[in-house]
Amino acid sequence: MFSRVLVANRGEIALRVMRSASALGWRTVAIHTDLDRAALHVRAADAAVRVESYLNAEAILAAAQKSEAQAIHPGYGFLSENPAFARACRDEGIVFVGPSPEAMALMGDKVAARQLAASVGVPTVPGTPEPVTEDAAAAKAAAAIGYPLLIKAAAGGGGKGMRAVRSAKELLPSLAQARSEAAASFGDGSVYLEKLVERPRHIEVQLFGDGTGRVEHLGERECSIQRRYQKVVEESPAPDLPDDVRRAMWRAAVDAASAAKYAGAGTIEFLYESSTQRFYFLEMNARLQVEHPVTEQVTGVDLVQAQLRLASGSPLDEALWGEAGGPIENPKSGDPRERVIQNPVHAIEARIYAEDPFNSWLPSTGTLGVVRESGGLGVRVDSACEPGQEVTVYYDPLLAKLIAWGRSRDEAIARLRRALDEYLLTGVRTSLPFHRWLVRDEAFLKADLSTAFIAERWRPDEVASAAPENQMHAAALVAAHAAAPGRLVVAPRTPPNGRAPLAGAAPSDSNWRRAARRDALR
Amino acid sequence: MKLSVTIGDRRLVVVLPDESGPAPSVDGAPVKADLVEVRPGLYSLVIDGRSYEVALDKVGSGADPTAPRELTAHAGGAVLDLAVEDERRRALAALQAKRSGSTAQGGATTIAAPMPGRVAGVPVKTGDAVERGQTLVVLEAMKMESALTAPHAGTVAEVLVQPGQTVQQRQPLLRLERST
Repeated sequence: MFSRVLVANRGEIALRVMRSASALGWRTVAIHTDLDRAALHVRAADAAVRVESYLNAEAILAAAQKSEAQAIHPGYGFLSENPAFARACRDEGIVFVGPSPEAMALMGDKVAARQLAASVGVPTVPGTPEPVTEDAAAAKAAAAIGYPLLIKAAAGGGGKGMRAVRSAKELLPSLAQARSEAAASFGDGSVYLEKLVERPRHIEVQLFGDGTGRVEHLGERECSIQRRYQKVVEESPAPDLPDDVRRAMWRAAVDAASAAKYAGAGTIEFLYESSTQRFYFLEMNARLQVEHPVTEQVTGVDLVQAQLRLASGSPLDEALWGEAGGPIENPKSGDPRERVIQNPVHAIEARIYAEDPFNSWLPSTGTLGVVRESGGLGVRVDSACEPGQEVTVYYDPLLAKLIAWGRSRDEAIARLRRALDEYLLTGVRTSLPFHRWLVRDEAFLKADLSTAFIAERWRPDEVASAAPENQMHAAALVAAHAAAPGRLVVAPRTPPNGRAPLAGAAPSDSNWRRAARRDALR
Repeated sequence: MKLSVTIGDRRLVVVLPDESGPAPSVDGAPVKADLVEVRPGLYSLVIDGRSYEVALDKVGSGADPTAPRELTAHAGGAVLDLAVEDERRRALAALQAKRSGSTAQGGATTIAAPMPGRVAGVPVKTGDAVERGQTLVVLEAMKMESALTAPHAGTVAEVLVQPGQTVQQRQPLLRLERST
């Protein structure tokens, strides 16, 4: 067992990793840039080292050496899927909490990952295995794939560099345009073709392997509520999914990760086409994901602790289940790839971004004012927000994650609704108003989901003008008071026995102070 | 004291209590309000037994004492952009503007860059009448194009940038006057 881990990240995920490490009795080391010197994750750690940037591998390794950390947890983003960094850790004798550099590189290569999936019988989105260079070959491949299809830039990613083609006659002109756009945007005009799955659902399977080929699944997550290919809301289990499809996805995911001899936590993403009940391998993420808390609440597993235990030599079952006992055999089949958790709950996560959903989701910057996160039964908040904190454009706009769960999807939604209503975060624009609308939206309540959900249903202008009248009056009254203080009658905070109140009201509001002033003037 | 509070396209007149003046009211309806500032920027308000919580963010420098005070209010889960000014001053300015033939209501909203970037386009010009939600400036930043839209209906008072120009975060790009 290790005793010290360096967390190569910042914000809510750094804090979250440190919490699990501390609970295991380990010491934690934070890294921080100058901009983050006052950040909560620094104070939460036992040791802290300043670095130039969270992407500077040499500096991070040096920090690990200096602080005598035996392991580095990369969180997500930054260097978490950087095989060179994972390799450098290994070379320095520091344990990288994640898959091997080889498995990471394999899964990071989209083409290689698809080939691996296909080799174990996992369906992949029909497409050209390599970039198309000649028009004749492209037309032939397109005919085989069928329409509608997507032209994708090989050097693109994150949803960029894609162009839809709906019929054969559009193909060649679109190809020419796509090539020149790709060359201009990515410096590489190579494009390949892929079937366009209409209104797909994004469903992913959480996996955990031991590096020898043994892999367990921890259920699937529905992540269809996205904007610009970025997830905003996730839930588990995926609602309204036929059981045989669900089990087939688990089997496929386990088989693919197994073939890669994957170690640690990873996720395989699928596109699911409800109309045909077919699913296709999209890609594998060789790291812990942002939405992992949803799986933790459903299964009861602390995924970070599982990662840390596995990295320090625990066998798979002990790392995942500890003394709690693991999943049970699926009553529908004896297939070990289909084992299920006992007493699962339904969990939903709402990502709180510093973005304005009423203004094209533009990032919002500023200083946090009031930070009051939700609490109570069935609610978890992963956050490192504090009043006075600066939110800048230099880091990812994800501020916090709000997770709610219940014995049913309806109960989870009701709790999430309540938690969203009590969440108060001021100083920047956030996605909170979007979430408050979502948990009341008919299609969301019915689980009528697809990746087109936000584009089709979110109407910012309608929502903005629908603020309740009485709340507008309350806001107007308070704003008027703030603009002209001292004019509105303010209820005095009369202390019970004449002593000054512990949480003081503003000086002009206190009866006690007024009385004291009056006495002083006599 | 009478204050004009504008929220989007709505204007509410708030009358604050005064020894000499009329009874306090919001939008013409009398109110008996119990207001406490819990801590700076956070308020507890009880009106007719109903309990409200309102948090305020100040917006803008407030450098111009004649311009409306811009605030963002968080109330009941809604996030509302407000502008507060003296109602008499506002009415007078509107009257003067009407006499001189313009439709400006007085007080211009500044559209500022939310982040550093490059102006990709300005599809409006000075004097144009625009609707709420209409694109005023297209900004290219963080590898994507974003449309900055009008928070309320009005007239473009001043365009401060041109296409191709690089801008800083919070740099004023355009001023939009409210229309009557």
